[in-house]
Amino acid sequence: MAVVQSKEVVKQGEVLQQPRVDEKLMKPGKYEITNETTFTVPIYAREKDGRWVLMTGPGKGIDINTVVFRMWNYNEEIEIRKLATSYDAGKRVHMIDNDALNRFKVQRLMVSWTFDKDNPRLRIQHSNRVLTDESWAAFTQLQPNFISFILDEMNKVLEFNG
Amino acid sequence: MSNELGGIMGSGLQAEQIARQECEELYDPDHVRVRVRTSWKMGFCLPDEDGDSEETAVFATMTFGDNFAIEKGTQYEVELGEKMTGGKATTHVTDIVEYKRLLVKRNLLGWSLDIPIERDESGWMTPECYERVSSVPAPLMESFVRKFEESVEVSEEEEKRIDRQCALLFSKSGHGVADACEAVSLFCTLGNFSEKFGISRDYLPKMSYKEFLLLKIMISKESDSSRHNAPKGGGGGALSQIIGPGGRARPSRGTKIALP
Repeated sequence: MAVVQSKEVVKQGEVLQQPRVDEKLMKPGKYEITNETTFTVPIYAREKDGRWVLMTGPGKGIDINTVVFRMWNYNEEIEIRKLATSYDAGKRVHMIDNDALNRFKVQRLMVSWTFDKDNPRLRIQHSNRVLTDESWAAFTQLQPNFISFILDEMNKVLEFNG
Repeated sequence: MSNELGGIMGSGLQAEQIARQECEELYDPDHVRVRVRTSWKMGFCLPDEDGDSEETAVFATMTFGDNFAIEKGTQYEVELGEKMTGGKATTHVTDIVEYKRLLVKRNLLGWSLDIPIERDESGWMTPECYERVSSVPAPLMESFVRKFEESVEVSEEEEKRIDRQCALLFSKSGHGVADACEAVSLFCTLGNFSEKFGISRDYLPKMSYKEFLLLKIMISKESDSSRHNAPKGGGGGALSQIIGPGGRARPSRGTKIALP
C-alpha cells in the first residue's frame, strides 16, 4: 500500500524570516557601500637628486600615480578599530594604536595602485579581501614621504569626512 | 539695516529650532532625534557641517536597562599587573568599540536613509537588517552615533558646573543658585513636585503652566517662611535639607519647624 507523506508544516515565523526573492535581487540602496565604492588618492612626484619629491599638482616632468581605496562601512570600521584598540590597565584607559590602525586600514581597504605599471613585482594582491604579506611589504618599501602622504589622504576621507 | 534684520530673523529661526527640539524631548522622552548635515563627495554621503542636505536618525532613549545589558554583553576580563595589586587580580572592562555596534542594534529605530529598520519581537534589530544598516559609510553612521551619545553623556564641563552649584546649594549658608544647571533644575523641580504633589516626570510637561507657576511661588514662599522661623544659633536646626524651586533650600518634611 502506498504511503502518502503528510505535507511539511511550515511555521509562519520561519516564512517571514526568509528574505523575499525580490529583496534579494534588489540593488543596494544609494547609501550602501559596495566593493565598487572607492576613492582615489593621486600622487604627483618629481625626481630630484635621485629621490622623489611630492608635488601639489600635475605639470611638466611630474610623474602621476594613484592609489585606490575602498570606503569603509560601519561594520568594517568597528572590526578594524577593535583590532587596534587595547586597554591599559595601569592608566585605566582604552588606547588606540594609530600605527596599527593605519596598517589595518591599508591592508583591508587598499584596492590597487599604479606603482606596478612598470614593475610587476609591486602588483597588489589580496587574499580573503586582505592584502597579502608581499603586497603589504611592497607598500612599506615606498619612500616614507609617499607613505605618509597616502596615509594622510586616506584618513582625510575615512576619518575627516573628505 | 537688512543685515540687522537678517540677524534678527536668523536668531528667531534658531530660537524656534531650539524650542522645537526641547518640545520633542519633553513630549517624546522615549526618542532621541539626531540630525547630521551631509553632502555627497566622491559618490558617497559624508557628514559635512556646511553640507546642503540633512539626514536624520531616531534612536530609542538609552535607558539604564539598555546600558546595563549592552555593557554586560561587551565586558571582558583584564588582568591587572602584579605591581598594582600585589598579586594576581582581574577587572572587567567594557569593549567600547563593540558597545557602539550593539548600541546601533538596540537603539536605532529609524532614519531618513533608504534602508528600512526592522526589529524582532525582543526589540533588537534583525541580523538581515543590521547587515544592510552597517553597510552605510562609516563616517555617516559614526556621526549619528556620536550625536546620540552626546545626548547621554555628562560632559566634563557639565560635571564641573554641577560640582560648583552643589557646593553652594548644599552649604550651611546656601540660599540657592542663580542660573541653575540642568541637573540642579531637574533635581529641585522634580524632587519638590513629586514629594509635595505626587506629580511625576511624565505628567509635569503636560501640567498647566500657570498652575506650575503658582505652585512654584507657593513652594518658594513656604521655603522662605521656614527659613525665617527656624531657630537661630544652630541648635536644633535642620540636619538635612531638600532643595526648593530655583535651587532654594528648605527644611525637609521630617524637621520640626517652630510655629510663628
